[in-house]
Amino acid sequence: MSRTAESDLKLVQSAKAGNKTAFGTLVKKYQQKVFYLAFDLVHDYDDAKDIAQEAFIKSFEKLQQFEERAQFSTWLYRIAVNLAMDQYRRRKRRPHESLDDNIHEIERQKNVEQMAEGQRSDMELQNSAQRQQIDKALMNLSPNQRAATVLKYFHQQSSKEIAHVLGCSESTARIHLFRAMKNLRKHLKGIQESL
Amino acid sequence: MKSCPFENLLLPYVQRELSKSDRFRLLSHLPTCQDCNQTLADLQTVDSSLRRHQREKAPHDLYVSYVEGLETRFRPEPFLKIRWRQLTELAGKLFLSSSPSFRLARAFAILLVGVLLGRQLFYPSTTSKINAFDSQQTATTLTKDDIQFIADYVVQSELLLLTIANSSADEPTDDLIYLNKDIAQTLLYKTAKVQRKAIALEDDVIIIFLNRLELVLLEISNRDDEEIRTTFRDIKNMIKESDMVQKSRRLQHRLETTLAESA
Repeated sequence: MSRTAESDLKLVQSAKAGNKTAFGTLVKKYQQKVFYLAFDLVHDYDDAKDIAQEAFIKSFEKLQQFEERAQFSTWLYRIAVNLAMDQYRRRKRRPHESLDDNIHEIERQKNVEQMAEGQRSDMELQNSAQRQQIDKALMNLSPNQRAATVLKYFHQQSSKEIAHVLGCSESTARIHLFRAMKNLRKHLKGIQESL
Repeated sequence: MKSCPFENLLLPYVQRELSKSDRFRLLSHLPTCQDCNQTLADLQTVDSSLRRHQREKAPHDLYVSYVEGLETRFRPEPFLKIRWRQLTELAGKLFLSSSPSFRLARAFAILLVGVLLGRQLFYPSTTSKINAFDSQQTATTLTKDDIQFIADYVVQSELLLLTIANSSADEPTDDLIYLNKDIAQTLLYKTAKVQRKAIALEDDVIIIFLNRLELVLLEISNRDDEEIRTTFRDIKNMIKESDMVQKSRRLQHRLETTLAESA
């Protein structure tokens, strides 16, 4: 067990015994990671904020159910990913407020800001364009594929940890990731051709 | 279309997670498979794009409000509350845990409390006896002969203590005659007698004084001739630290008063 996992475990045990300060320490440790994980999945800062807060509240409420065989961070990520997926499904049922609209809106705002600034270098603009392309391609993936990719590349989780978070086997997690990569390549090609 | 059996090795290869033997197998296969080469190129392109991907930072105000929201909800407990909880946790562990070490600790704690309570109930504390010494309660319980015997002894020992207390270690060795082993041994013999009387009479004040005096006498009777000055300094310190001269005077005064009253 790594040192981080060990110290997390001690804090979890203390929090389970009713020590709110110990849980507060865990919150501080993971607040940024969970926030950006939620954002990577829903691509909306307001939603990410709600999801991350909800993830911490839920994990505090369900802490007694946490089996200490797994890592606390993996368990917390799982809660956050599930909440993000629920949010994604809710959004999908409301087509007028789709996730694609969110991305377009963010892109539009960014472009306006960039035009207004007029001082950004070509390199920055190119990076920003690439980032937007990847964000857009990611949002076209299925929730499991997106979660697998985000966890692997933006949150440095191993295939085993991804499997824990997604509640599937390690080989299924690898399949999600492989398909995600293939689909991303397809989407990115399509985007580049349309430009 | 049926996919190549080597396809499932491509992603672990790109992500540098492939074992040495599998990597060797794949690298041997690649020159012979066009599909795998194409897929590998695609995967590498996406892998490199994703690795280079840098997410923009969240709006500052929004992130601050998020952190503040969490802090409010999971605010640390006040210090005293934490200490109190730790104390109750420890007490809970001690009294509820079924592990053998905790059981043993519990039994020991109960035994200790029992012994302390019993002592408090059946034996008055030493402090109260010392106070009793000053209020002349203990001495009145002694017989006249006992008092006389102890009074003589205290006078002799006070002389010795006083001489040592007023002397210096720099004096010639011959002048340190009061460190005579024979005198000390005679007094030690008497000390044992007085101690027996004091123990029979349960007089802690005298017992404590005698114990200290006994130490002094033992030091003298066991002293090494070559280290007489060191022994002298040790004894002098012992007398000074225990305030033995004053104590012997008080004891002497009390005994004299008691003898006068009984006469």
